[in-house]
Amino acid sequence: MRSSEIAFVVPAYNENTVLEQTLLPLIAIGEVVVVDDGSALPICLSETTLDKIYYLRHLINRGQGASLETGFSYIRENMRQVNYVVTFDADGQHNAQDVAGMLEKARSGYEVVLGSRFLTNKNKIPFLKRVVLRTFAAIYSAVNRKKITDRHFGLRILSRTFLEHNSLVMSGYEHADEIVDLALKGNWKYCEYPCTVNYTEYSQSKGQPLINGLNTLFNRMLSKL
Amino acid sequence: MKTIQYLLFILCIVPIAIMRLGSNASGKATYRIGFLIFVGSFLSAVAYPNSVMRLANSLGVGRGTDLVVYFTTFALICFSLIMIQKFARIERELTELVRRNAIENVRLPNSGN
Repeated sequence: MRSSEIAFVVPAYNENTVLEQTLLPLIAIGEVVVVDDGSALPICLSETTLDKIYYLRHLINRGQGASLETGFSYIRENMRQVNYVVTFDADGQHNAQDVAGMLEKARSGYEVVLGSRFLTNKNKIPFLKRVVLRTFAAIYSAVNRKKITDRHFGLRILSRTFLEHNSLVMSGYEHADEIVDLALKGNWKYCEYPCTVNYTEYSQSKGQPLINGLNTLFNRMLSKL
Repeated sequence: MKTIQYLLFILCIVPIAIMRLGSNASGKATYRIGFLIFVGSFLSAVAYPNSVMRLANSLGVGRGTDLVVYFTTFALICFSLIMIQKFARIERELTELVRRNAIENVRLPNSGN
């Protein structure tokens, strides 16, 4: 059932044909806003798909957080009917089937529904990635005294009310932490939802290397000053 | 502890103050005054080499060179912070500009172009 109160924001940067396969199931669920973050390559979409989506293009590359916020701004200003915004990675690592369950949670009153790849044991996550992500999540949970198993998963649902009150400032990959922080600090009603993840060679090559966590940490510290 | 150590610790407040100072008129004026003091102390150190040594000794630093190194490093840290801040602001403005452009030039569904 397609619903116009749901909008997907899909940040895309130099994506190949995987993008089209990622978008097709989303178009069947709701509106799709693709934000092309200044890709060097022309967007890899057929005319029919392009005619079913909102397509925004950054003139120059500004980072994933900036792309998401561009999608959010567009929805805030021009898509009044949208009540639930779903962030979805373009590289095909998320499953559209998970969205239905998350929407149910959102509709029952959760302003922020965070996908978590660690709440289900179906996922095969590379060892090092798992250790690093879980360690950071554990440290943050201990510091904030609120348990979050996965802070850096791209699939999440944000309610319109949440987005009317919050906007992303960090332009790079820091946005994942930023969203969690905004949800916790503003005392928004949030929950986690178990999500499956498909790590393909393609999505692995597109994803951020773990070492980027250091850059992220440094940028976040500077932004606090 | 020697006088210089107290002084350098007290000077640590300056970077924090820099972070708090915005890009408003008083902030800019403060940076310019800081810059003039920096240039002024450089010129007087060149003109009166012994004054640096005397100042160093009075602060409990053995050599004038050490004092110069301390203050140069300190000035460098302040300068870096100001630049980091300025770049961050420009980056934010640039992002906003790119965002506005993207929103204005959106390709809507069924637009067929």
